[in-house]
Parts: sequence; C-alpha cells; structure tokens
Amino acid sequence: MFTFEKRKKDTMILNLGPSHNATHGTLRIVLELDGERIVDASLEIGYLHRGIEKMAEQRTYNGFIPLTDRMNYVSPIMNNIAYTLAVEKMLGIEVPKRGQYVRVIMNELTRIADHLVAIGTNVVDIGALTNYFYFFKERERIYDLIEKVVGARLTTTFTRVGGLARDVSGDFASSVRYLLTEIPKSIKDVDKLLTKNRIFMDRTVNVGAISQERALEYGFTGPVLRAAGLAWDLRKKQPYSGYENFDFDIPTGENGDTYDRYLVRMEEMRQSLRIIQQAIDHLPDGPVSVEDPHITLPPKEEVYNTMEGLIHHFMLIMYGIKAKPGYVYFGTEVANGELGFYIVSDGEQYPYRLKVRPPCFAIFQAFPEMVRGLLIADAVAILGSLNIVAGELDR
Amino acid sequence: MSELIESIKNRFGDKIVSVQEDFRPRSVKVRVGDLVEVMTALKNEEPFRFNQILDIAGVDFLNHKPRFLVAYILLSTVTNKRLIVETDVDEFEAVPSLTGVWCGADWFERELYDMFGIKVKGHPNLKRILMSEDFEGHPLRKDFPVRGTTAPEQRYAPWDKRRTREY
Repeated sequence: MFTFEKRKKDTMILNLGPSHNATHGTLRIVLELDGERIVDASLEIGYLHRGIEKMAEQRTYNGFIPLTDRMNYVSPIMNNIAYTLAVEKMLGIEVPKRGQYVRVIMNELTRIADHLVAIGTNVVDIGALTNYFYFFKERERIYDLIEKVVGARLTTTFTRVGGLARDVSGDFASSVRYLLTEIPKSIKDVDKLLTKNRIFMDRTVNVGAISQERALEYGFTGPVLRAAGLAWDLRKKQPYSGYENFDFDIPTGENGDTYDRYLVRMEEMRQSLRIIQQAIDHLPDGPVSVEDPHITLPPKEEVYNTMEGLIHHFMLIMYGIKAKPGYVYFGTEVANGELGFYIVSDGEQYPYRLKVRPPCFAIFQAFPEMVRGLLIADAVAILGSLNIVAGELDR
Repeated sequence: MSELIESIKNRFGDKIVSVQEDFRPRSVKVRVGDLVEVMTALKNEEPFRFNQILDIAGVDFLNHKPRFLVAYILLSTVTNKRLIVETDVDEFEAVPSLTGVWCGADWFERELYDMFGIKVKGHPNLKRILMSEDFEGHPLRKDFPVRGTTAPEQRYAPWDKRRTREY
C-alpha cells in the first residue's frame, strides 16, 4: 500500500481522478510512477457516498427500491430484482411463474446492456471508438424497450416486493423478439473487429492477470472470477427466480487477464440471448405478482368498489410490509458479480439494518496488485475491464 | 440440524456460542477471542472450505450490551454452501483483523470501522474508506442523526495542508 511517507526518492506521483475520463465515475487512484512504469498505487473511494444504507433504515421495504436504481446505474433493473428477491426470501414468498419469467427477460436484457457498456467504454479507453457506436446502438434499443415496459430509462423501479409494478403490455414479446434478431448482429460485428485484432490483443493479453487463488481470496465474483478460470455462476449453482428452467453455459477464461474478461463478457451476452429466447418462447400466462393483501397492493377496481380492498390498500400504503424478526442474506448474479443484501428485521415496517454487498467493492481493492509493474495505459485498460461503477462502490 | 452445522459443532465444540438455523444462510456465533482461529479453520479445513469472504456487516443494537453484532458472510465455491459467522462486540472493544486469513477482508473491515467505529485490531491500514478522513462520528450507528449536517463548510488551509473548519 502506497503512502506519501513511504514513497521512494525518485518516483513521481500521478493523480488519476477523482474526475477523469478513464475512471467512469468519481474514484481516485494515486499512482506512484518510475518513468512510465507503475511502482505502486493507492485507491481512494467514497466520492459518491450517499448513505443509502442509512436511508434504508427510514424507508419501507418497497420504499427502498427507488434507491437501488441509483446503485449500479448501468444496470438498475438487476439491482431492483436482487433487492426484491432478498426481501421475498425473508418473507418466504415466491413470485408467480409469469412474474419470474418477465424478471428473467428484463434481467438478461439489462445484463447485455451492462456488458455492452463495459466492453464499449473499455475499448474506447484503449483507443477503438467504432465498437462503442455499434454497441451503444443496441443499448439504445434495449433502453427503448425498458422505457416501454417501465416508463423510465435509468430510474426504473421495475419490481415490487412480491412481483412487478404492472404486467407487461401486449407487444412485449414481439419487441423482445426484434431485439433478439438485432443484438447478435452488433455482437458479431464487434467480435470481428476486436477478437483477433492485433492491436487490441497487444493491449490486453496478459495485462492485469490475476490467478484464480488470488481472485477467490479477494472475494471476486462474476465475469472477473470466471475469466480467472472458475465456472462459478449463481444462476447455475444456486438458482433463483426460475433460472433452473433455462439451458445456458458458463463461459470461462484461462489467464484472468483483460482479454479473457472481454471474451467472457462477449460469450455471456450470447448466453443471455439464449436465456431470453427460451423465456420468451415459454412465457406463461397468469398474474405477475403474488395475491397477498399484506404484501402487494390490490387492483384499483377493488380499492374503489370494495371495503376490504380499500382497507388493504390503506394499510399497505400507511404501514408497509412487516417482516418477522430475523435476518437474511441473499446474493444474486448481476453483471459485475454477486450483489448481496443482508437485511436484519426487528418486526417493524422498516429494515433494522440493510447492508449492500456490491461486487465492485471486492474487485476494486485488488487493483493495486493488478497494475504493479505495468504502464499507465495498462492501468486504464484494466480499470475499464473491471467495470467499476462508482454508485455501487460507494453507495 | 443440518449437516454443515453439525460438523461445525463437532469440530469447534464449545467455541460455538449459539446456532441460528431458522434463517438463511444459517449462522453460528463465536466469541471475539476465538474468531481468527475459527475462521482460519473454516477456510482451510476439509469439510468446510469457505474460500471466500463476501461481506462484513455490522449491526448496532443501541442500549443493548454488548452493543454491536458483526456478521461475516462466507461462501464456499468448493462445497457450494453459505454460512454467516457472527460475533458480539461492545462499544470500546475491537475485533481481530481477518486480513491474514482472506486478504479481501481489508476494505470490508475499513468500512466496518468507518461506519460503526468498531476498531479492527491488526489491520494494516485502518482508515476511513467512504467518509472523508476528518469526518466526525460514525454514520451507521443508531444514535447518529438522520437529518442535519454534521460538517459545516470546510475550507482548505494552505498553512497546514489539510481541510479545516477554523479558517
């Protein structure tokens, strides 16, 4: 760990951030340089700390969902789903089949969007601008669909405890099918441009490599761990939300370097498309939310026309969902790794304590070890490949 | 009783203070003094092999004694199991650092110190991580106010090269 006191005599200090084009958010990296080589690095985070965990203690279980949008703002829907799954696990309820399938489709679309951003911006930092436009065209299409389903692009608040805010509209399936034909074209284009590209390989192969043992020690999850060679995916190993019904593979890398992370993300997008195809083909009918008046709001006709409906609506709005005293930890596989929620309840309508386990937090602390001995330009390439999102890192 | 909890009880005996099996993942409670020994065994020994520490979460039970609960959330990618190891710690006590067991515990322990003011003994770099270094108080304690500003406007004082409130 670098500190100014321990600094060697003839080294130079370079500040990367807190506001820098390559950091994609506010995080500060202090590099100690010998010429252009990195001797050591020190990290400073917390510039985007908004106290989400403290705010959660003053909000009902449903009231916290809008705040999860603001954590990983590249894939907000995955945060919504991860959080509601944790609360549902605590309440011991399971969402109806249609709700699960719609969640899976949106989850995988957002995973693709997240990987599109991760790869697109990573290669922009390295110096290849074209791929960015190919990918952001598709990301725009995905966000159009999200807007159609949810009504917002980034601040989605897609789920509610016990299901979804509302069912998807009639043309949802055809919109998803259209995306399924369009996204592979862009992936193919970028694959042709990058995967065997001499310059791209020179910049990324064996850059920022980390062994599987070290990755596990640091608490890595997600594509970064899979690139190091371990086929660990919670969707497969500890299935949730109906992922056991779908057929897909876990891509793995060999060296755990930046190039392998790129390959794993590319393959994951193809696997996500497979999952979406299966889900949209077998999309069941029925309700999207559980019909429990203590958990989900009754339909509006009941609220206006029946006494019970009005009472249930009033009680749920005024007092919220109450969970039994206890705790739960539930982790789901989001685009960066395992996003976990540790919730302690004391029986009231607010969580007594809510701890978010962001995947970036564990990954980013290994950054000094990855960049030691490399060039500044490599540090930028590695930072992009880790896909650090400051909103999630600092909460 | 599940297989995992049974093997933990057999291995550690009376080092396990209590077991919680109603919630998921299951949790065991150990004393602060036994923490490093139990964690090292849980990581390295055969039936457990908890090779990842996913999170360290503090919980503040204000007006209780001991005041804090620290939950270590573990995952084994070998056996595909999860476990929470809990320990009770009072306001002016410290927990031992687990950076010698998993190096990934580093930032999580710094966050624990930053948010709750629980000292971590033996940590190589115990500084605040999310709040600024001159921040007063520990925000996730229950007696920390939710509203209001604790930090008045601060300015950079060039003479002693730090931010200060007295200008």
